Amino acid sequence: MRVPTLSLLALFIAIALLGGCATPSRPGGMTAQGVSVSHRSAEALSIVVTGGKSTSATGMPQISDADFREALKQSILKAGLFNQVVEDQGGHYRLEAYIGSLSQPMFGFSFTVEMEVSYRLVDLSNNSTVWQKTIKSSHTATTSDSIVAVTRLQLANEGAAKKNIESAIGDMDALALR
Amino acid sequence: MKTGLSFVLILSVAALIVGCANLNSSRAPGADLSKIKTIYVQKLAGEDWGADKLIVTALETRGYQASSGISATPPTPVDATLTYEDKWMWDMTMYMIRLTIQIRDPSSGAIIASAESYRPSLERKSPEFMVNEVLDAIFGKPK
Repeated sequence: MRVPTLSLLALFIAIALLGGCATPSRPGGMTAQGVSVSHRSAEALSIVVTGGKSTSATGMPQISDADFREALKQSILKAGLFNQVVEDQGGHYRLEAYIGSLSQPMFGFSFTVEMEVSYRLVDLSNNSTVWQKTIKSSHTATTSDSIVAVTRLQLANEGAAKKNIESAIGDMDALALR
Repeated sequence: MKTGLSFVLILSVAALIVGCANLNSSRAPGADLSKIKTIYVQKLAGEDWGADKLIVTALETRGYQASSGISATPPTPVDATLTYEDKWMWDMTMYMIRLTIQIRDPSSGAIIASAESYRPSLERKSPEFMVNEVLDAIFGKPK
């Protein structure tokens, strides 16, 4: 009787220590680094993101609209794809990103997150769609990345988002926008 | 070693299976669901409890002409395709903890609307209930 009680106590303590609180995916972790582009547009871009979720009562790390937008902005500026990203609805182009799916595992040692984002790039001078594509990406975080489950899931989210953004930048680069 | 692995697995589950019931939905910019009359439900590979049939019935209750199949491509032209993902847990009995449904443009495959219900053990509901609450979140309650 004593052993199960001690085991139960140890389990609760371990959960308290290892469970941790779910924190949102960070823009810095989702930002594409070192993406080189061959075409740099001198125009300004505005970015609108929808479909994201706040990290809330489910206790699962999520990706919010604001954080994904910030990651997109920083990735585009670092790559030099556009000269400027404006905060309002202005600019010559508007990039719309709809986070349609963020598929997360419930448990396991390796967490693979699959993400699906529908992008649309609009030329605001004539309101025409310049580019439209749904990009799927995935990333696996293992116990070597973090022993804490919620952190592992957060890292898997961020990796999937980063790969998605890298792919989107590559596609937009191929448009050879001025 | 085996006990240690089980222990870590329990911790992972316990750390994640927490929180309150949650229902959320979203639509792509400019998505117009009012034009949708026919929907093809793409059966999830490996799913064998009949989720597709349940969704088809719930759609028909809402007035949509619905069908389902394994193929990713609808056998006949439709206004939208529907994909879903269900996650189950065990706590005395098996229960559905999460159901996600996506409505897609049949030509591009792009997601135009999505909703998800998350119900941990203490707030569990039947699969029928969860299918209906997720479809309500996407299309609105049937009149």
